Amino acid sequence: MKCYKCGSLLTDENMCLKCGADVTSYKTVVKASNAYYNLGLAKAQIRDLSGAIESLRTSLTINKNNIKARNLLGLVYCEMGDVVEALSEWVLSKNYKQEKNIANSYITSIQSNQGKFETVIQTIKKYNQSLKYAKGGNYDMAVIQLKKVITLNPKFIRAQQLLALLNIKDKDYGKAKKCLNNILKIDRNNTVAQRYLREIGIIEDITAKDISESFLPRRKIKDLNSMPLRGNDILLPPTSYKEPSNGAITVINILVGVLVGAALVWFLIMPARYKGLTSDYNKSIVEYSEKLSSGNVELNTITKQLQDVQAERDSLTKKVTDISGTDGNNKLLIALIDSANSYIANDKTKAAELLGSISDVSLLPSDIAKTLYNTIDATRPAAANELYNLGTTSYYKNNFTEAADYFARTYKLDSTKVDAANFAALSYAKLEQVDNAKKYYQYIVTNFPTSKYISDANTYISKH
Amino acid sequence: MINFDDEIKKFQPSLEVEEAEDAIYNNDFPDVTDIINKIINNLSDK
Repeated sequence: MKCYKCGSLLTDENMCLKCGADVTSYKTVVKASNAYYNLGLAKAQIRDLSGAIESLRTSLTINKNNIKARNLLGLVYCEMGDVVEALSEWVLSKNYKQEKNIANSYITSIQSNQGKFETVIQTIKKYNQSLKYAKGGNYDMAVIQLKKVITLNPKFIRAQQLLALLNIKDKDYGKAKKCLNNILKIDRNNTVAQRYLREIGIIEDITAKDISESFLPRRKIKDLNSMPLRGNDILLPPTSYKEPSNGAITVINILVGVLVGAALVWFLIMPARYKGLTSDYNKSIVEYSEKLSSGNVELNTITKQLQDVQAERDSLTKKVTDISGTDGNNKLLIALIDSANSYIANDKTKAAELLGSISDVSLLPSDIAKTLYNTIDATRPAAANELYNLGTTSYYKNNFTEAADYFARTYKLDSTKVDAANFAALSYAKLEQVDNAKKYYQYIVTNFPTSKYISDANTYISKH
Repeated sequence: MINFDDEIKKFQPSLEVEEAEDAIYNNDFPDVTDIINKIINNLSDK
């Protein structure tokens, strides 16, 4: 026994020799806990598992550090099929005492047999599902599930109890008794099983009494020939008289016998057989329905997964198209190549104009492409000036269509050229293309509010 | 006589693995030893 304060070993003295704590009450409590542990152990040894649980729980309520009691409680839970409760107790035990604790080997034993552990966990889930079915009035489904549970884990007491109760409800006392006897083989003093068995016994006694009262009591018929003769007895001589033997009557009697037999078969045996067949058929339908519903759930899950995968594929395909299609990087490269061709052909104005379709140089996929862009882009001011001069020439020759085109292209190449915008507006005004003229005047108003053309621009916009 | 409706209410779900962690953490209740220790400590403080 260790001191509750400092953890050092205690002697027969009522105080700790190390820290001086008074351990009189503590020793009494620990002894009481051990006494309950001993009681629990004795009960477990004679397979009174319910009683053992009660004693061990009391022992732990007194002293939660009673490792032996906790380990034994886990073992009893495990024996009754409550594996998760058992594991919980062993984990707690391991937490209280990490070394030289048999709980470690119990936990290792369960962890090393994952397949069986998974099966037991599934049976617990199915039992809980069955309980839901039973509480919801779906007794057939509950019975089917419980039968599976008991096949996989026959020591699962709770499942055996629930199946017994459902069998009692169905008045199938034979099956109920089988379940209850199974329980009592595992847990000898299981109070629920004993109570159910007693109730079944009472019901069967009442039924037997009803049956016996529905018929006349059998009386032993005394053999008159063996009785002694009395004074009033009349002696009749033996006679040789026989019933007339008629062939037709015999045949009729046989036929009537056959008919009665057929009727018995038809009215008594066949319905029972049909009932049995129908019952089997219904059970099969329930089982197939269950399989079908689980199959449908799986199918829906797979369909959903397929839809998700297809959506993901479409999204990725779109991304790839955006990146590498003619609207993505390829479009930029095509524009750059066209521009480079014009540049090589010494048509620098066209080269600069073609470069205009590349909105942002950083979108180009390689450094070489960016360098080429910058080389061609350096010709942009010269190209703008050339177009501006051509526009001016056309304008003063009163060729406003050409002039408008040149000035518009100039402004596109160099958006700082307010003169180009003004001439473009004037050219379009001459051509009476009001919308285009207004567009360029609007550029002046928006982008060059301090330019000398601002009053003309405002006037034109307000008049048109 | 067994009343099915009353009996079925007494059945409780079995603990599942997912619930084990909560069960372990919620197990930390004081035992008689803790209570006695507390009483002794209180007396010694006074």
